[in-house]
Amino acid sequence: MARQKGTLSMVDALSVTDLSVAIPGARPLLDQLSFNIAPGERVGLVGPSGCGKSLTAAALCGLLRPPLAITGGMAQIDGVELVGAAPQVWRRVRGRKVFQIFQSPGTALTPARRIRAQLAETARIVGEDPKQAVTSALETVALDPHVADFFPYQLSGGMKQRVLIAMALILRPRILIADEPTTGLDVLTEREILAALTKMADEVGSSLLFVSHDLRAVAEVANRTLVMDHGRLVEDAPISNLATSIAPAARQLAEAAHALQIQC
Amino acid sequence: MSDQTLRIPAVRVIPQRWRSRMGAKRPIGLLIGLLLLLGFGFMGLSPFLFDLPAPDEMDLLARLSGPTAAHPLGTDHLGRDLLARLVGAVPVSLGAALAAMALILAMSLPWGVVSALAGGKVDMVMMRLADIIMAFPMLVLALAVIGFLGASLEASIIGVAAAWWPSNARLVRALVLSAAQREFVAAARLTGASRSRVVLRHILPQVLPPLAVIISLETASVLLALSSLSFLGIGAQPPTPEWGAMLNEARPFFTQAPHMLLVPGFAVTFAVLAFNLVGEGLRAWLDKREPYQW
Repeated sequence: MARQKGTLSMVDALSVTDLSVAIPGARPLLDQLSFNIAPGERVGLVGPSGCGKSLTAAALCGLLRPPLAITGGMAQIDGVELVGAAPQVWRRVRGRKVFQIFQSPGTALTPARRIRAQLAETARIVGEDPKQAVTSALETVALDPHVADFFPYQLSGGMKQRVLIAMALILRPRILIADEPTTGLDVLTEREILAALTKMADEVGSSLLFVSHDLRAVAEVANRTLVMDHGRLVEDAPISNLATSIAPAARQLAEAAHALQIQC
Repeated sequence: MSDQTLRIPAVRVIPQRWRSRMGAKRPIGLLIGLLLLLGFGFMGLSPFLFDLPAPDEMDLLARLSGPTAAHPLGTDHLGRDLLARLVGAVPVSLGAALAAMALILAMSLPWGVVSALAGGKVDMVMMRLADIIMAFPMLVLALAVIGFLGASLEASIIGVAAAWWPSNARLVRALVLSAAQREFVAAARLTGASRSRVVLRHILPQVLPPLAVIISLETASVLLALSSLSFLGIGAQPPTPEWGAMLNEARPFFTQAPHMLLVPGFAVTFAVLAFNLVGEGLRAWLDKREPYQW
């Protein structure tokens, strides 16, 4: 399913080299992470809780909260260096180059503003016609056009998550990071979200970094998986090879996913 | 399917709230507070509607008279109509309190927002400056400013505002810090929105509801502080009608003409009560939901 469009001559959508994140003076929380994602490629980032998945996502979006800081390495999105980048560079990168869908959709939309206003604001940032962009984005993620007139609290968790995917559709980022976007949602909603994500990536041609601890969800959207354990990248392999991996963390995840499979 | 969870948003806040509240717990405090404020507003306008004597028109033959048909609330030691003075003092006393509050906000809001968002050394320096001012007792600092500017109502407004803003700035900073850590602020930044847009559209709407509560509660305290200064003779100067100044004028005649003291006294009491009730009512109304939805 993964589309390896990348060739040697193309700039990787995301290129991370020896990236380390730490509270200065303490043991690194992310330890020399290195991986590349080709344009249009969909990659799962998996690992047990607390292994640094969300921290990686935050670092790549420039959302690390002090005292956390990038202490070494390089990270390039579409050829733009992010480590030590000036705020102006970050502003150009955020939205157009990288966008993130958060774990908890409930808090990711501004509560006091209608969906239309929030999506239209996004459209104006990238210079699109707000009216048309909002309508077509909502349609793509299979939401009723009336949803635009609602406030976030009037929507279910899955609908809010789809609104965020619609936001990504408007922004058309080079790489979309989805940080456990289906946590806390029921399985039916989960499937809808994953379908919307896939559709969004198809339509825009974005690369997708899908962060999750749930291999079943990862298998729906991505083929290649990166496995993290204790802040280190321990495996980079297709999802079907994880069971035979030399990394214990990858094998454990595969075994857990296998044990949870039920035959209906 | 999931679309059934939708609710109709039309005229969202007021009708729903009133309907659900009417049964269980009525916002009586808020209502009384608003009615009192409306009453004061009406009083302030009444010179345009009714034929009242001028507030400093003297009738020396009727000095210290109790309530009569000609003077419904009596007269003071110079024979001035107390009702006219009470009404004439509404825009002065309430206006001064509101002006002081506006001045306090104009300083504390940008100060707190910039301090919270700049962080680091800028935050440290700005907050230490505020701390230094907060270290002075409020009235002492206000007295110093008035001493410098000369006793007048304007000077007392500036003095109170200068002594008052740091505590508000600290509050604004704390509110902005907590709002700025919310995920939707991160999401807004991630869309590439400019800093000012994030602040105006995503952070400030979260800060304003709790701030509105504090403002209405503090307006009461500011009103009291300004009246105290006028009572001490360093606020509004005679013959300007002002409640605190009227209390001061009434002091020597307390036994002869207690109405002179009671009239402005009740006015101050009710004004403070009104702002407190509105503040408390707003708090009860807004406290239940966070993040805040207007």
